Amino acid sequence: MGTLKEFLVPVGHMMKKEFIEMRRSKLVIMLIIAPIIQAIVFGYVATTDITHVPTMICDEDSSSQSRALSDKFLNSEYFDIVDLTRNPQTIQGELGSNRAKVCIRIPNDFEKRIKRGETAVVQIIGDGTDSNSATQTMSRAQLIIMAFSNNIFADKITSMRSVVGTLPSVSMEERVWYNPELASANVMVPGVIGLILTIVTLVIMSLSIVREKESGNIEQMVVTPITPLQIIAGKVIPYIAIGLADIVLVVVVCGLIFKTPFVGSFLLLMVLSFLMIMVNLGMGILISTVSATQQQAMFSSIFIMMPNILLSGFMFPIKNMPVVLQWLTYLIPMRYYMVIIRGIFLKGLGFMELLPQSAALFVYGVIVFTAAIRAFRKTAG
Amino acid sequence: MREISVKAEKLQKKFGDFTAVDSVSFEVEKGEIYGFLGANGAGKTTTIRMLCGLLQPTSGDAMVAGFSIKKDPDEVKKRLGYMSQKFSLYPLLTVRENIEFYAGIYGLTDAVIKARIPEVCTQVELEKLEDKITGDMPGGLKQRVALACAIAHKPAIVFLDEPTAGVDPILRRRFWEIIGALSDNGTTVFVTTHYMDEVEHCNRISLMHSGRIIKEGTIPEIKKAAFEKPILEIQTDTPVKAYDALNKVKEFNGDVSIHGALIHLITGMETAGAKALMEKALAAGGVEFTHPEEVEPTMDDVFVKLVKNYEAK
Repeated sequence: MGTLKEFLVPVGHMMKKEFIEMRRSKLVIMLIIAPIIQAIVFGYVATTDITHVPTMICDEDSSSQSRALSDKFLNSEYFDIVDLTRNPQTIQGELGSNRAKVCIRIPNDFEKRIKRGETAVVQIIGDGTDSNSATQTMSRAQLIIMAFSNNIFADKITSMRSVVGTLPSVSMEERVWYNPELASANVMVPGVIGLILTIVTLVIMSLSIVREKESGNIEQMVVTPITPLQIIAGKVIPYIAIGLADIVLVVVVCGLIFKTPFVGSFLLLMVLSFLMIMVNLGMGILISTVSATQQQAMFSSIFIMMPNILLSGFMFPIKNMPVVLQWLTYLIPMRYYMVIIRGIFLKGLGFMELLPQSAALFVYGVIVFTAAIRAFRKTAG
Repeated sequence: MREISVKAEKLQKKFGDFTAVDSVSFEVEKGEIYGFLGANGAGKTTTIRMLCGLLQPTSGDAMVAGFSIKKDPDEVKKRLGYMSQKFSLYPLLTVRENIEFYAGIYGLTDAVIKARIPEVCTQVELEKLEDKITGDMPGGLKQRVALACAIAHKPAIVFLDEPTAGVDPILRRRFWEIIGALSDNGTTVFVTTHYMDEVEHCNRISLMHSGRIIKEGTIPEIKKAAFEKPILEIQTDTPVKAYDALNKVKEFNGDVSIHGALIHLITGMETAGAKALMEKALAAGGVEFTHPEEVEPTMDDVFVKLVKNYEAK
């Protein structure tokens, strides 16, 4: 059999050709610029953090107590007061026209009731057309009102301390680990890397092989001494390089823009991303062997990509899915990669902690790639 | 001394129940231009694909450049060049980069490739075009780039599968001149085509029909085999009348056919006698005619005749 050098020389020529084509077709711009844009857009758009909600306050009481409560809302970064009115007739118009998403309505007996030692009621009206934000906004408002209520209560107790002595109470001390600000960008940006890797490797790989099939170049290569394995190596290596380069780019750019923390090992991220890239490239080759045209390859790629996005936990938590779909997620390679990439980014997990996911990706990769080489041998040979 | 470059022995290829190539045997000498002629689906491409190692024969074998396509397909691949009708170039690469790529996957070293590029560009008349982007070139030049890629590694045999499809006539002629020079230098050229006029450039040809070689030989040999006696041609304004008049003559024992204003008469007689008899018969029928002469059969005539003969059998 031939030496290693005999194996590598044709592979080198394949790679060189691939890079020249990438450069001349301007594909390289898409492979470098598009991922950065996607990461930035996703980081901003795919956020579930609710802040600066346009809020109207309808203060029918106009008392010192009602103003004190309004001030709490004014000073919160979650609420932007767009309208302060005494007239409840305007609420309908403001919410209906989307100028305000929530209304805090303080009735005219607010201070009177507090002074009398009765329960004063504050009405919160939310816009349910965006149910997720409405729920979050209303629980934020509730927190502010509760705190206000506790203050009144505490004042009263303090004045009565001489009579009742101290009172027991329980308070909560909040600590959120790994992502203390609960910023969704911190969770989304690593996820975007997984998404970008799939686009760059799976889609571009399958298109690139099918293009050569259409033009007859694969057939032309089969009559030369080059082996199918060398053809695949020559096509795959450039895309591995691009995939890894994209990871570095996205990590750096998002670190600068979103201040996404990166506490784990960069080397480990690269090694495990390599596994994910191999899975994707294998899928790409498989798609190319069953597709006769680039259009077909494109559709098949999208078909593979959709579950990778929807069932991987990238956007929707797996724990919230129906049980059957939860089982199905074990077939989605991206599911493992999401755990890996978020774990490395935010928790600084090491290889041992990520062993189950890494092993799953490795096995997946070996199976898919073996199948891909086989299928390619058949179509090319 | 005769040196055999390709020797096929009872080569057969079946796809399921369909026999695409049926026990085909032939020999091609070194430096020959050997043509495979036949309609689409006759089995030409299947045969060439077997000889190139793209398809395994169902039975039979062939020796190409001294190696069996069954036992040593890898050795065969090293020694042949292949050019398909698609040309299979990378349109974004320059001429030089395309040649470099194909020479490279044949395992040639960089130094050899560097020396070979100007050589091969001279051979196919692409001097000074080395750094042009292939995709921007006209079809006829692309064809030559494809040829350059196929011969960059100095193969002993070049297979050309419908090489001139979609190329204009002037560039087609130039292409055949280049092929001629290649064969003069000892390269065997194996070509398939369905352009009947192009066959004239081949030293020897095989006519393929429904998976079989129905005739093999040089062009004159094949023409002779199809038409033993000469063809007489006249021009007339009343072809149907002439046709009827000639068909009445039993002694011709041949065939009359109308080609527009021309009448072709094929007889079993010698030229002089047939000519006299023809003029007599036409005069008797009151047919006016001009340009009586003996003509060569075209390859179209030959092909149709041989296929008819074969199917009659």
